[in-house]
Amino acid sequence: MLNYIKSELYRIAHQEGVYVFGGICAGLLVLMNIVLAWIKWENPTFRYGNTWFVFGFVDDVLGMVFVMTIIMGCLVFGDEYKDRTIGNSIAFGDSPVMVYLGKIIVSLIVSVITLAAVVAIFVGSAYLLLEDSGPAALWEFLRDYLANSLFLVQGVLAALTFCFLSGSKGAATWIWLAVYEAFPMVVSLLGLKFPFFSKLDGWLAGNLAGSHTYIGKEAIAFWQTPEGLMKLLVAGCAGIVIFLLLGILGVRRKEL
Amino acid sequence: MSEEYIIQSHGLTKMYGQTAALKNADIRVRKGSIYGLVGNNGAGKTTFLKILTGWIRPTAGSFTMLGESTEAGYRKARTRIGSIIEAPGFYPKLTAKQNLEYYRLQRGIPGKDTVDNVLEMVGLSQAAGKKFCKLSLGMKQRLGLGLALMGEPELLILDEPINGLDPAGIVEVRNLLLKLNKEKGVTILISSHILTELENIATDYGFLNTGELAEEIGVEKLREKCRTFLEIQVTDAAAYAALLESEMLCSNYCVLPDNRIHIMEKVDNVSDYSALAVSHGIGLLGLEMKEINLENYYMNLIGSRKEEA
Repeated sequence: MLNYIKSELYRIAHQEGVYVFGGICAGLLVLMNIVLAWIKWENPTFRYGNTWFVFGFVDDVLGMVFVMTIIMGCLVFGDEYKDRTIGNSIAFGDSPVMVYLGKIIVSLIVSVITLAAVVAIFVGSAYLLLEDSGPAALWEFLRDYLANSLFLVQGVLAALTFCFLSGSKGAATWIWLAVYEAFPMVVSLLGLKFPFFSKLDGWLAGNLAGSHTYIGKEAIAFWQTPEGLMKLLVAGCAGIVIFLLLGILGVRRKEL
Repeated sequence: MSEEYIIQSHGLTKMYGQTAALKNADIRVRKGSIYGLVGNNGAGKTTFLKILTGWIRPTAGSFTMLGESTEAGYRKARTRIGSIIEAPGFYPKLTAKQNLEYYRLQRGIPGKDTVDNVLEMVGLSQAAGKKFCKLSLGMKQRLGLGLALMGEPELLILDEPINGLDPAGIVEVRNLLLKLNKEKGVTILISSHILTELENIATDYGFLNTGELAEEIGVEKLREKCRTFLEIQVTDAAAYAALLESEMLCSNYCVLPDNRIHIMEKVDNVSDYSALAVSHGIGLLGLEMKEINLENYYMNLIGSRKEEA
């Protein structure tokens, strides 16, 4: 397993995919900071040229970051079936389950490194270019990402599982979107008519990731209430276990 | 027994729905041999090799490989095997060298110069920095061979390894395989459509036909069998075959498509056979003395099996 992880890290380090993806994410965030700083410089009364706004904004788009886990899963998966590279690993004595688990570990390592690098560049550029609104906004933003990391892990895991089971990144993307976007939407609609679906709706990772709840007029992250925290742990962990089991059983049966 | 054979399969069967890609194959590969797997498209060659390398699981039957006969054992054995199945699979955006380095790390093969040595062995030193997707078909095939050879395997499983190679490349690969077999005792299981190539290196043959093992034969026995024969083409092969048995007392013959018959015995007097056709009103379209090579041996073999069927 360790050798497999080493080889996969070597491959990813020598391919441009992750660098391009991380570069685009960091580049867009830095560009946002530059634009805000420029407007603030032009108009000193501009209200959004500070770290409070940008950290809050990036916190609000956590749902979009969750969707981006598909890209990370697909990048790490490569095109194992189309390129027949997985066949080499199996022919050299690796079990398909080991390959699957190895990919998951590698994808988590790569995701953490990429996210850390993008966040570091974004936060650094925000402090460098914008007005400092104090540490509270930064901590809230970081805390929310950390809390939602269960969903981010689940998103990457699901993307990889769908890649392994379908054998193609395109099909995996559609399945992922169906599970995390279309299915919650259908459940929400059914929830308008049937109470069961209304309850289920509140427990789906696709709806929960990055969402907020209101206490009075104040919006807080969903997991900051006891019920929300319970939902985070249950929906986060259950999804991880379900997709992991599905992946292990699926790759065991799959032939090349 | 199992010490002598590096691979031994018993009733190995692979079904895809109702279609049998491999049927009750009992294939035995001697240690130290170069085993040529011969068969048409769909004969079951690649299916057999895929089962050995773990790409697919057999529907029925069992096999022993490098003394191992359990799933965990096969995986252990596969660390001592080099293989190419169908076309070589690599990451298109990595260079030739990076691709081999990737698998070196994965297989835990020590020595950073291993990759350079392998690239040199397969004549790819100059293309080491080229991305896999930019390599020619022949270069890709060489890289696949390099991957199979990395880590000094005891057994090489090669599915059509000379596909896409130019004539010089074919000779190089042939010599390399012979050298590995002679000097390092590497057992080689090789399938190829180019039978003349197999003829140059194989010490044992397995003939597959529509998923079944038609015959397994050593090179010595094959040479005994490969002798001069008479090919005769007539207007009515069935009638002529009956005459061969009744008039010439000849039973060692084989009826092939297009009313061709291969006669393996009593071929000293060719004119007797032409006279036999003419005297019974059967049109004689062709008559030629030929020597059996691997190709027509195989054709005779599957031809006679069709007749039996």
